[in-house]
Amino acid sequence: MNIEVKGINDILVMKCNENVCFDEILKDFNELLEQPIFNQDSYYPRAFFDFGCRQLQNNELKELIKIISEKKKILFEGISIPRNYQHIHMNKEQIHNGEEIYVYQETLFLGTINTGGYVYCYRDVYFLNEVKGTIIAMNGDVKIYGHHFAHAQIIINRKILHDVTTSAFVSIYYKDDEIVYNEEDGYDKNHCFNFG
Amino acid sequence: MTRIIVLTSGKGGVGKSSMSINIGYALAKKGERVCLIDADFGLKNLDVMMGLENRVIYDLKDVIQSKCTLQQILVKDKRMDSLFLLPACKSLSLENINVEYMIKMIEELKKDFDYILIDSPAGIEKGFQYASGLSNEAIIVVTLDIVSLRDADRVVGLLLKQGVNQLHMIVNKYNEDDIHKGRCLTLKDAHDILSIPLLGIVYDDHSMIEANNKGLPIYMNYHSSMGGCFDRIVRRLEGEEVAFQRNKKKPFLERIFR
Repeated sequence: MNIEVKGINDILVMKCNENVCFDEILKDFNELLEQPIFNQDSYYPRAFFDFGCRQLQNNELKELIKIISEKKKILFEGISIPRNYQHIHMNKEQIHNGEEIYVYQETLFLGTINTGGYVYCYRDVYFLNEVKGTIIAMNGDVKIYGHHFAHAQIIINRKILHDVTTSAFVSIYYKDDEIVYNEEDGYDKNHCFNFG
Repeated sequence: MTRIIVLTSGKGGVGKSSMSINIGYALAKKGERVCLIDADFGLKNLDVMMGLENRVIYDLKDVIQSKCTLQQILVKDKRMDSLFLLPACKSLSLENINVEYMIKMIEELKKDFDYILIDSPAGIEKGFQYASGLSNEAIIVVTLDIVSLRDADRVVGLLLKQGVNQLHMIVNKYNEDDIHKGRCLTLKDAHDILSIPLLGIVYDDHSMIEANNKGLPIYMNYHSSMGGCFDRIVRRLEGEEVAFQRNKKKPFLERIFR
């Protein structure tokens, strides 16, 4: 059985296995509805469907609702919607001398930012490789993360941080009219959960 | 299929023209049909360095003005039968050159040659844009100094933007002594900055200047070991994996009584 049923606060939560195909789930659901608990007179339990990380397609959802409405044995209480992770844009290119790049969404840079390269960012940016160029935050909310800055320049709200050189993981942001330069202890703080 | 390669650098004086000529000779020696295009309009150099100055009768301007055909302006080298030079002209300004026409000209040349090497002018202005716009492959000539590498980095960015994705690097004027003494950057630095594959190294040799002045390319000077560098470059260009040539030290007495 790919559906596990749990009673929580007068609601039956049907936890569906997210690793099997949806047809299997429907087959098991049909079988489940034939169980005595769902065939009592004038008793219609409320059921909530927990699909875990499975993102239901429209046709799959229609199939599920069709079974519920045809069998008329439960009251549909809702389904879980998988949490939408914020996607980070990835830039794999090396930014060469004289190149200017505008970043309008959170971006992870995999390539080096060479001396003379400019990154204008409207959202947070993360640098996995060496930063030797200039990073310009276009508003005060932007945070800049990186672990290898070599004589880089950071500009936020017209304040300039010259010659940033570090091999520790740092976050750089604007706070109280100045640029704050923070060494992070570990990767817990660095919003890694957003990656992917 | 004809390979059209532009030799460029950004910075002047790093040896683009010398590289173009000697690679041209090395390719021609291998039996390839090579056309060297001097894209330094207004400052023609290749004919002088190849010793062909007196053989240039027509130039690009004459073709544009329909005074002669494209075949007529090609100057055959006196030493290599399969090497031709398409000379630039001093009186022609870039404004008078139509890119469409240049592309058409390259298409015509493609029928007769295996390699078309374009010697780009220094800088990243119009001349460079014309030269790089005609090719799909580029050789970036650098020396191990920071200015050259910075400029080359700028050029790499521009080339990638133009869609020239096949990039190679040649390190010219390579001097092991300078590297060991920390007077110049290293090959690793060059690779870190440009992130493009190294096609070859050409050792620093004063005979290169002499060769250019005499109009006898160093590749054709059989007393010089520099030819080996270009042979290896050409072999790598054709996809072979070849070890880098080690610079032969001069004999002890020659080093004392030089």
